[in-house]
Parts: sequence; C-alpha cells; structure tokens
Amino acid sequence: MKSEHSLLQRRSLENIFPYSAVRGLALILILLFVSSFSVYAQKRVTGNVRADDGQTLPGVSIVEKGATHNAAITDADGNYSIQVSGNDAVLSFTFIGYSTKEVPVGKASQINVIMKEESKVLNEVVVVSYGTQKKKDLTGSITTVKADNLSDMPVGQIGQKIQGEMPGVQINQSTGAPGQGMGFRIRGAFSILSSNSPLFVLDGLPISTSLNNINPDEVESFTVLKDAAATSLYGSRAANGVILITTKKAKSGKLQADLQVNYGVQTVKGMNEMNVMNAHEFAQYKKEFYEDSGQQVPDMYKNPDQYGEGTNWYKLLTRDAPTLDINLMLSGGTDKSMSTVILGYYKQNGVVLNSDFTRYSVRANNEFKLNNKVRIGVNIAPALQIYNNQNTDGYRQVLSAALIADPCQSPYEKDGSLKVSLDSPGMFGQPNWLRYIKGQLNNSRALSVIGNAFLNIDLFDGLTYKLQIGTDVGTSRNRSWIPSDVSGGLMSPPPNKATGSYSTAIYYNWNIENLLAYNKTFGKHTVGATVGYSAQKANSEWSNINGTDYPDDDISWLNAAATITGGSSSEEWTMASMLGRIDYNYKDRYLFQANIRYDGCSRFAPKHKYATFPSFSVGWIASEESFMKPLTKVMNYFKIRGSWGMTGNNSFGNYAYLSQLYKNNYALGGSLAQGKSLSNIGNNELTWEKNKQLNIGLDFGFFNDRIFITYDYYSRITDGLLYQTNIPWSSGFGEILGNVGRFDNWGHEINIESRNFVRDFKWKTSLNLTFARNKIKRLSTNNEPIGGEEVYSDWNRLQVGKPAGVFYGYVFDGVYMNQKEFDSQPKHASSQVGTARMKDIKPDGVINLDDRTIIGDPNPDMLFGITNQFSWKNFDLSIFLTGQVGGDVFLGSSDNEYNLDGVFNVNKEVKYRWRSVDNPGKGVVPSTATGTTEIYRLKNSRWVYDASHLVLKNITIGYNIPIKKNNYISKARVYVSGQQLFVWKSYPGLNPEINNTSENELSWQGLGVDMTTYPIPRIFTLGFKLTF
Amino acid sequence: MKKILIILTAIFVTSCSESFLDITPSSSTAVDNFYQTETQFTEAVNGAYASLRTIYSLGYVYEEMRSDNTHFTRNNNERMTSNTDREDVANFLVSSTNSIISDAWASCYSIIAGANTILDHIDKANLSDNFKKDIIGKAKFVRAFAYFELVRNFGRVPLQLHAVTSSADAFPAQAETNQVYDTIISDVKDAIDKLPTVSFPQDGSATKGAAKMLYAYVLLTKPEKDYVEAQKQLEDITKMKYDLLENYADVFNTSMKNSVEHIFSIQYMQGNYGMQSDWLYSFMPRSWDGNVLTGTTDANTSSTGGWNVPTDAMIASYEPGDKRLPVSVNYAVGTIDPEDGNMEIDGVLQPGDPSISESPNALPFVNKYHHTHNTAFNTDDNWPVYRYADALLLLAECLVDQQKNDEALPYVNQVRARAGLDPLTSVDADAVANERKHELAFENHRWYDLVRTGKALEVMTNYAAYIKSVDTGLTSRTYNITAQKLLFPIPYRELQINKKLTQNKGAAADE
Repeated sequence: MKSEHSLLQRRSLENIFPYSAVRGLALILILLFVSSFSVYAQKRVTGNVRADDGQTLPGVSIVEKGATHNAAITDADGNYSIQVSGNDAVLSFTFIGYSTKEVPVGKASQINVIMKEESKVLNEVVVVSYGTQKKKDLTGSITTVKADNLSDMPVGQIGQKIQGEMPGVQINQSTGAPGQGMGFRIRGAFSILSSNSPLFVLDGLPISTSLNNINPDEVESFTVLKDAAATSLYGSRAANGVILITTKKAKSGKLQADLQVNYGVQTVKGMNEMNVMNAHEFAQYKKEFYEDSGQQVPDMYKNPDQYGEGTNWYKLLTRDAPTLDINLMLSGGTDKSMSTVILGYYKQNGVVLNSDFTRYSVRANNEFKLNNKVRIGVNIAPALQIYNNQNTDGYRQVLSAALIADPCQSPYEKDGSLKVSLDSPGMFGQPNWLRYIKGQLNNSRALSVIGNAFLNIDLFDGLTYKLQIGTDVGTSRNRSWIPSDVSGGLMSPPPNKATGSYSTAIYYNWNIENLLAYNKTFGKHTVGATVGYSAQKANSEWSNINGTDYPDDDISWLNAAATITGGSSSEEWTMASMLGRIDYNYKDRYLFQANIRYDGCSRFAPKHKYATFPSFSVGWIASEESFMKPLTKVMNYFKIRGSWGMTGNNSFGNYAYLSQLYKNNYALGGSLAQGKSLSNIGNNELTWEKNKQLNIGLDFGFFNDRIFITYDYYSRITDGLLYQTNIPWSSGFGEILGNVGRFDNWGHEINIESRNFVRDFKWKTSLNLTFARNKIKRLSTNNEPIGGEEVYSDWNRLQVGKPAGVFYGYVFDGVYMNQKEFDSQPKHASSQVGTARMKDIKPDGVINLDDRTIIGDPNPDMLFGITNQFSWKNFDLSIFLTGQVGGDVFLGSSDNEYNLDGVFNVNKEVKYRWRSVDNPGKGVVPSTATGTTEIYRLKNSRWVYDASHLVLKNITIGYNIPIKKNNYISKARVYVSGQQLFVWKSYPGLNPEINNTSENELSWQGLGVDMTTYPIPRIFTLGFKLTF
Repeated sequence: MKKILIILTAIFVTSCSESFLDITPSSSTAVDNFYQTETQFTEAVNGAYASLRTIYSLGYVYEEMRSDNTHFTRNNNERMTSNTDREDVANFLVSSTNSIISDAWASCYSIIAGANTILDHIDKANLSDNFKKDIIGKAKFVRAFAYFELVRNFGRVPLQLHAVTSSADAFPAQAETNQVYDTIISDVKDAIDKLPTVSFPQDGSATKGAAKMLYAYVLLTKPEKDYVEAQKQLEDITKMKYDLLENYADVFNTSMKNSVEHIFSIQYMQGNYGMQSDWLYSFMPRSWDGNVLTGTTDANTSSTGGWNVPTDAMIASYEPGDKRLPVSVNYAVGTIDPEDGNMEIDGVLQPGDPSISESPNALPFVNKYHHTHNTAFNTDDNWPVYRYADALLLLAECLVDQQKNDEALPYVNQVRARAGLDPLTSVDADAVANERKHELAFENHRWYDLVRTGKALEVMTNYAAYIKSVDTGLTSRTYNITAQKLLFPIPYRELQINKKLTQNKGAAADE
C-alpha cells in the first residue's frame, strides 16, 4: 500500500515545479556520478530471489541501472549472479506480475531479494469522463476492457469483441450480416421512442458515426461508464450509459512495427436449420391437403414418391466463406515527437451469397511536446467501408422466404438455366430465390474520417488547460439495382419492372472543448477540480434518386431509366454545455466527487432548451483503516462506493417538438397545384427524459488482489419518458409526442477476476454476471398499454407493472379433437372440429381479441461471460463463454412455417396435424380446412421459447515463437482461433440473441423477436503476429 | 447559468451565439411559420383536397363490392389480410379490426384535421375578406364531405371541429347522428354561400354546385329527410351551366376531365408526381402479364387484380342496347391457369361479343377507368364524385319521393336518351333507382343509394342468395345481413384508446 500511496503522490505532484526541478537535478547529478565512476570499478554480486510467499522465482530479470549490458536471469532455484560496475551500482529486479524492485549494491556481494506481487488491478489508470482516474480511487461504476486481450478474435466489429466481457452491458448480435447487427444496452437502459444505445465517445469526441466504422485494432481500451456519477458529465446524452473508446496512443522510443494477420473460414454447416419439410414430405402434405378439402390433387403432387430430399432452398443460399484481417502498426519517435500509425484491411465474404464487407482503415495518432509545458496532439483516422448485402434479413425476405419455398421445385429449368420465378399449385408466386440473391446489386460505400486535436498546457501549480477539437465527418452512398428478372418478392414474383436507386448521405459533426483542471495534494488532502465548456454541432444531408422504366436489364445505372424521381433533405442539431467536477480525497481512503453539467440543446422548444444534470459520489477504502489491518493478509482491499445522480436522454430526432407539414400536392386544371398537410401535432412542452440513478458498489481484493471482486447494485428511475402517445384517429393523427411514462430498473452486477495460478503455468479466470430487472410504472395519462394490439406483427407490449417489451398474444390451448370437445369448449367465430383453440382468457365462452394476454418476456434473468486464460511457457490458451439465463424469444416467422393454407412449405411437425376425428394427430397442429386456419397463425404462446443459451464464443490457442538473435523480428506469435463454436440452446430457431429492431439498437419493439436474419457463422482462423 | 453559457458560446464558437441553439428545419416546413400568406393557405387547401384521394383508394370496397353491383375473384393463393379484409367487407364479415374500415375512418378524420387547422388559422390571418371567404368555403366543403362519409358508414361519430394541438383535446365522445348531420349542414350551407358558381373551363376545385350536390345528398340521407330543400338545391344546379355530354364514354375520358358534366371529381394525374390513380390494376383480372389490356409494359396484376368485378346479374340487368354497358364493363378473354388463378390475357372484348363464349375463359371487369396511360400502375383517371347525370337522377328521386313522379320523368328520360334507350312513360322509385344503378355504376353510389332509399336489407338479402349460388367459396358465415350491419363497427383501436366511445351494436361479425 505504501508504494501505491507514493505513486499517487507523484501523480498529484508532478506538476509542482520546485519539487520536480529539485528531483530532476538530483537525478542528473546521480547519473553523472554513477556513469563517471562506473568505468573504473567492477564486482560480482550473487543472491537468491523469492516471492513474498517464500516461493523461489526463476526467470527474474536483473539489470544494473544505467549499465544495461550488466544483466542476468535467475535460475530454476531463483539464484543469480551478476557482474556490476561497483559499489554504487543499483540493481533492478523485474518479473512479470511483480513490482519492480531496485536495490543499491553498496558493499554487499550477496543480495537476496523478496519480490512483492504486484497489485495490477488497483493501480490501473482508467479513462473516465473528461479525464483519467486510478481504479482504486473510483467512486462511480466503471468497467474497463483492454483491447490487447481481444486482438486474436477473428471478427470485424468492436461489439463482437467486447460482447459478454463486461457486467451490466448487454450486447446482442441480431444478425450475422457482414459488418452489421451489434446492439448495445447498458443496465437495461430503456426508452420507448428515443434511442437505447449508449453514447460512444472516441478520444473525447462524442461520435455520431457507427462503431462499425472503427477498426477494433485501433483501440487500446473501452471504458463503460454505468452509474450517474460516472456519466453525468455527459449530461443530456448519458442516460443510456457512455462507452469511452481510447485509441492506441502515440509512442516514443525505438521504431517498431507490429504485423498481425488473421485468415479465417466461416461456415454455417452443421448449424441448426429450421425444420421444414423436404420434397417428399411436402408433396405428401400437399396431396393430403387437396384430398382433405375434396379438391383435385395437382399433377405435381399426385405422386410424392417421385421426390426425395428435393431442394433445400436455405442451404442453397449459403456457402463457406473466407475472412482476412491484416493490421500493421508502426510506432515510435522521440520524447518530443511521437507517433503511432495503424493500417488495417478487413475483408469478410458473407456466408450468404452475394454479401461481403470490406474495410480499409488508417489511424495516425501523433503527439508533440513543444516544451515541458505544452503538448499538442493530432489524431486522424479515415476509413472506407464497402458492403454488399441483398435484403437477407426480415420477414419474408430472401432467407425467411427460402425456408418456405416449395422443396419440390428445382431452381433450374430443364436446360440448366435458372428459373425466373417459382409457381407451384396453390402457393404464393415467388422469385427463384437463388437467382434473386445472385442477380441483385445492393452496394454501400461509406467513407468516414474521425479526427481530433488537442492542446495541453501545464499552467502552474497543478493547473492544466486543455483545448480539444474533434470532428467526425463522413459520406456514404448506396447503389441498388434490381433487374426485371429478379424484381419482386414473395407474392409479387418476377418479372416486374426493374428498379434502381442511388442515394448519398454526408454528415459532419464537430465538437470543441475547453477544460481547466486542477490537482493538488495538501498533506493528507488531495483536491481536484475540473471546469469546462463544450459546444457541438452536427449536420447531415442526404439525397436519393430512384429510377424505373428501364428499357432492358443491360445497364444498371440510372441514366438508362426512363423515370427518375428523387429528393434531398438535411437536419442539424447543436449543443452548448458547461461542466464541472470536484474531487476530494482524504488520507487516500475517504473519497468524494461531485459533477455537474449544464446542457443547452437545439432539439427543444425555447423554454425547455436548458437543463442541469448533477451527481455526487462517495467512496471509503475501508481496508486502509487501522482496524481492518489484521485482515489484510486475506482481504487486502475493501472499498464501499455510493453515488446518486441525474442524467438525460435527448436522442429522439431533431425537430420533434415542432408541428411540421409535408408536401401533399393536388392537380388542378390538369396541372400540379402545390399542397401541404400537417404531418404531426407538435408539442412545445417537450423536454428531456430524466434519469435518477442510485448506485452502491463494493470492491474486494483478496490475497493481494489475486481475487478481485466488484459488486454493484443500481436503481434507476426514468421519468418523463418520451413517446408517441396513441391518441384517437379522430384527432386526424395517430399519436402525439410527449413526456409521459415512468420506467424503473434496477439490478446487480458482479465481476470476479481471479489469477488462479501465476507462476510458470498461469491461469486467469474472469467471470461477470448481470442481473437486470425493469418495470413500467406509468404510461401516458390513462396508463394505456402500448403495442401488441395487432394480431400478426406488433409482438411487444408496454404495460404498467410489466417489464418492457413483453410479448402479447393468444395462449394456445390445443385442437378441438372431436365434436364433444368442440361442443364443450369456448369457440372463435371460425372454429370447427379440428381447428386450433386459444385459451378463453376473458371467460365468456367466446374466443376473440379480448382473450389475448402476456405470453412471454424477452428480458433475460441473467447474462454472463466467463473467460479462462491459460499460459505455460510459450503457449497460451483462452476460452471465452457467454450466455443468458431466462428471457424468452418469439419465433415470429412461425406464421409462415405453420401456415396451413398450403401456400408455403411447413414445419415437419405439420405431418401430425388433425385430419379427421379418426386421424386427429398430436393435438398441436389443427386441420387445413379452408377459412379456419387463420387463428392458428396469429401471435400465440406456441411461438414463445426460452432464450437461455450458452455460447462458446471463442477459443484461441497461441504459441509465442522464441526468437533468438534476429535483426528483423523481435517477437513472433502464431495462433488458431475458433469463433462462435457452439451454441447450446433449447430454442429451435437459429439465433437466441436475435432481435427484430432497427440496426444496432435494442429497442423494445422487436426485442427478442426472430423474423429470420442472416446466420451468425462459425469461424475458424489461423493467425500470426510479428513484431519487427 | 444560461447567460454564462451564451457568453461562452460567443467566445468559443460563434459571434451570434443566441442563434447557436436555435435551429429550425431547413428542408421541411414548421407550422409556426405557416398559415400566414395567401400562398400558404392555398397550399393548405390543396393539401386537404389531395387527402380526399385516401378515401377513394379503397372506397370501391365498401361502396361497390358491399352492394349488389360487384363481387371479386377470390385469390386463393394469397390469403393475406389486405385481401381477406376486402372480401370480408363485401361479404358482411367485417370485424372491428378490419383494415379497410380503420383506414376509412382514419382517412376521413385526417381530412377533417386539415380543414380544422385551416379554419382555426384563417380568422387570425391578415388577408383580404374575399380570399378568406374562398378558403373557408373550400375548407368547410371538404370537412362536411368527410363527416358525411363518416356518418353514413359509422353512424354516431366524434365531432372534432378544431385542430387538436394537445392530447387533452383528443378524446371526444361520440355525437348523436343528428348532431353530426347538423354540423355537416351548417358547414355545407356556409360553403354554398362562400364558394363560387362554376364557370367553364373549371379546374376541379370545389364550387357552389358541388356543395349544393353534397347538401342535397345530406338532406336526402339524414334521418329526417328534407325533400323540399333538396329539390331546391338540385334545381339550382340545373340552372347552372352544367350539361350532359353527348357521349357517355366521354364522361370518363381522361382528355375531357372537369367537363360541363362534372360537378365534382377527385383529381388525379399520371406521371411521377405521386398523383396517379391505379384502380384499373385492381379491377382487371389477375394476370402475370396484363399488357394486352393496359397497353403498357410490366402490367403484372397477379397480386393486385380481381377486385370490384361486375356480377353476371349486374351485367345482365342492363337493358338491351344500353350504350352505357360497353363503356362500363368489358371482358378480358384468355386462359386461366387453374393452379394459380392468373389469366393469360389474349384480348379485351365488349359485352355481347360472340367471341367471349368461344374463348377458354372470359372475366368481366370495370372498364370506366380503363384509358390510355404511359406506365403500369400509373393511370390518369379522375374519380367522378358528382356529375350532372347524378344531379338529374337525384332530383328525380327526390321528386318521386314527394309523389311528383311526372315531374321526375323528364329528368330520367334525359339521362336515358343519352344512353340510347327509349324514354319511359312513367317512373317510380324503383325505376329511378334502376337508372341510377346503371348510369352511375361503379362510381361508388350504389351502396349509399340502397341505404338512403331503405332498400339495402331487401336487395342485399336477395343478392346474398344469388352470390352464394355463384361463388361456392362463400362460407355459411357470410352475408348474415341485419339492419345493424348496415353500419360498420367503430375501429377496435379507436375503442381501445378512447374509452368514451361505444361500439355500434351488432355491426361487427366477430362480436
């Protein structure tokens, strides 16, 4: 503890001129003295090195300070022998995992050393809002992940790398579409209308760009700010938590190049597929379908035995595909001018045909010291991304539709060419999905440049000024082309008109910050204060051009289209803010912090533009108290933290309070007459969603931090939830935006890091557990539930007293197996013997819309992640598991696979349907009688499944090749890695993490709903890393 | 605090710091800056009239298919709700969640909200009285028009006569039917006062004649009918410069829009303005390639066609030699694929053509909206709401209702003469109704005519027996016609949200 104390002092005092000057002078004198005498004397020192628990330490490196050619390593028994320059020599003992120890030689010739295991955990410096802090001084709830540990994972997105690593952070991969689909939700943050996504701050710049635009290998660390004390300096944007991303710093020293290459193969082979009928089964089913309805069986299905497996449409659209990831990092410089440059290339061919993702990225981080007082940094990171993906995701889009295409149909004509459309008797016309996916073009390119520069001036006596300017600019364009032979979809089979589009977007976002920070220690008191001003502006513009009426399918560009339509538009928002923070620390054990941010934002009506967001936190390092000292051997560290604060949410669109008009033209006298109509009802009272959050945390370090446990409890009230309250259509509108509703959430987070073995064989385990609960307390004036009313989509519901986004629908209650059951049971208007029965929830003997209820809850009971890292000599192994306990998933595409009108291929289970009283099946699939089947495919409890799962996310086995003297390579490492290796689940769908929400969001609408998305492939990778 | 922030913003960001946080949309219009100039009010009125189109996109479902004029060709392949909801309206199986009726309800109120906003702002605007008069006239006409649509279909409906600007105003209870009619009458009378009399060429705007036509319909439809006043309104119209076109087909001709026969039409325009009509593509048979019929490319109606199909009985009910039949109905001939129900269309023939019976399959379709156009699903046809023949026949109906059958006769015969039919020697209510049925076929009049004249139950009960004998796919639950089912149920969502509303008893099939 002593050493930590002095370290802390050094940090606090480093700017105090007299002290550092004296120290510097002394150091120079010592060095001069040492070096001038070192050439004259020579002597040998021997000794033994042990750990503080008495164990011998082999492999400890010993060097003489200032004369590094005098070096040695301890042998298997911990003994060493070293030549030193003389009595004035100072020996430095270093060993990974232990504090470096320096011992002056003096007259001794034998020096035995006991090394103290390092408490790495607590001295870690953590990036926090507008500054840094040592982990041990934290009073807020903050989790950090270092990116080093993640570099071997063969995935292209940041979210994929940090999924499951941090307690309280839910990251779901809704789709495997290359370069897409990661949704973040911190502590179950929830908003009905606004975004649930946390604020991402990259090197101090709140970014508007997607995280996908950032090469994960540029990142040094991720810090997740969770409680209000940690986040409130981001004020009105902090309600959903904040993720601070710090990129690799400019480095001084010898020029170094690190090259890392991953090559992987992705596959979906052997992964679970939807259990639909093969050709033989389907032909049999169709034959029976016609027979049961007394119709003529179409020729195609008269003889089911002519078919075998038939066409597996889903499989036909997938393939094995490679990924390649290359990163080159160059770093080095002088202590005046430092630089790190990272070049990245990432290419992922999709496991679904005609899809891929490519990213070219560069980051250059530079820092210049003009003098002792002034530092300037310039970072710039351009990235170009290219995506191809053909409407794979969503209800009855290509993957979903392929599951229900007729397996008796071949994709090919007799002459071997691809069919244009599939036209089976009694089935919806549809495209030939193979031709469809191959024949389209949907290509996006996005160029983004994130840049920031800072000026740092040490003014005097602990006072520092920092000016930071950041910009995030980008442009993107999407080009699509759907030729006539693939134009259409399910129910509108090709050929149809060819269509093309070309859309562009450009955005810029700048941020300027002025910060004054003060830090000083007076005896036992350490005081810190920060005040700042920040302004941010974001502007985006977009345009789109659509073309149709092409003469033929030869030219895909819009200048071939006879009819071209388009438009362009723009939006802007601004913020201006002041912020302040006070830290106070007494005797290194009593910690206090207060934060305040005052935000002004353009998104609100004039009288609601400004708001204040305060927070307070306290910490007590109890283990520093003398009465706790006896426990130190076991529990070396114990801290209690508490915080309370307010944050806000303003991410709900830029002009939402305004009532606006849209273009609604009329024709008068045969020509255009400009017209406008109201598009919404405005609301001048609109204000921020406000969050009040309480956090209580405990940190424990056991056995000198060999086991470190962090526990947090939080309770949060979100008030003034913004949403579109449903109002009667008789107003002319469906909804009005207002601050109504209250949502409470609370939970527990546990993080355990344990270094089980620390010697030759090292084993480290990290475990994190997240328990998040939520409940809706109030909704609008009448507490009317929101959502769930529609009988097909509209799966999720908000209802007072229930968690957000519960599923709403009928409760399936079997099949009326015979006349007796039919006569004695409640009925729907369409019911007859053999049809599906839903529970009569409102017990009136009639089954109708009033009999729907809550049938599932997509919110997980617990999320967890477990990482085990082993190393022995040059080998290392890491195994990473993530998972979820509890929570439901709604197989929303079931109304396709259980559609009993004969229009789709169906689940194999349909074989056991009710056909007659004598052949009633298993009582879960009703009859196919015309006019009776609809109720069976309305949202009901049968499509709700337990989402609990365990994913073997990653296994990496690495070997560090020992490099003997080599002029070129100083380090080399090879590894193999497997990603998404196994998913243990009871859910019959592909992906239990699935959500049918908008991209990169985990909003309540569509939460836990599976409408079929791009499969998440298994990836096997071979990689190496060389340091030159 | 606010002042400090503004000063800081001035120092660090911009010299005009006050405005840094004041951002209004640059690519759309905010209401605060609107409803001030003449141009703006004109745009607002145009917007309100453009919204009338929403009623006519599916109006044929509840105004023709619900009547004895038309049925549909069942699409056995595509049983999605957008299709079954249409069938349910035709078959008297309407549930309160039926999207057709929800859309009808919401569309009418959206039109009303547009009119309300105009009327709420116009008084405060600093504009000439003449201009205001015109705007108020147009706004009140469209509001009355939408409420009339609502009251005829839903009966007791909420009266929303001012723009809703906060949720506090958004939850009205239903008004009694009489109250709704009183409001409509008050609006339409004001519109009659303020709107100009038609002068030709006319551009499609609402006129005094249109308002009088609406007023007459209201007077003849409301619970206590006022024949005397209706007669007066209709006779006023006959004194304006309207006339029958010589040729019945010209009434629908897209190159003769807003002619002397048109009193009020919903205006459409083909092209890339988003103002095209496309009923032809719903009314023609389902076909992968309907180019032969439409005269365009890419006329794939396999999932859009087969609606509003004239029944054989309807076609047979035209008198021999009625020139209106070949204009109103044509046959698509070709071969129907028995497996998917799509027709390979070989040609289009007029009723009575002997080739019809020789071709493998023939399907009749509504031909009134079948005109040359450039692009598939992008037609130029207006929807005729009120036209002079309608005024004459309504006047005849009004006279017959007052036992002035002799006075009615010339009006009926005037219309018959154009149709190439011999004059009648006497008329009664049935004769007028029969003339209206054929003259105004497929123009969304038939259902309202049946209800207005009290014939709906009788006619539709007879029709039910007929249509069930023709369409064997109709289940026993269909056409269970009762007096209550002449109204639609109030949409389910509306009842859920607004607890002050009560359902129309017996209107919903799933009650």
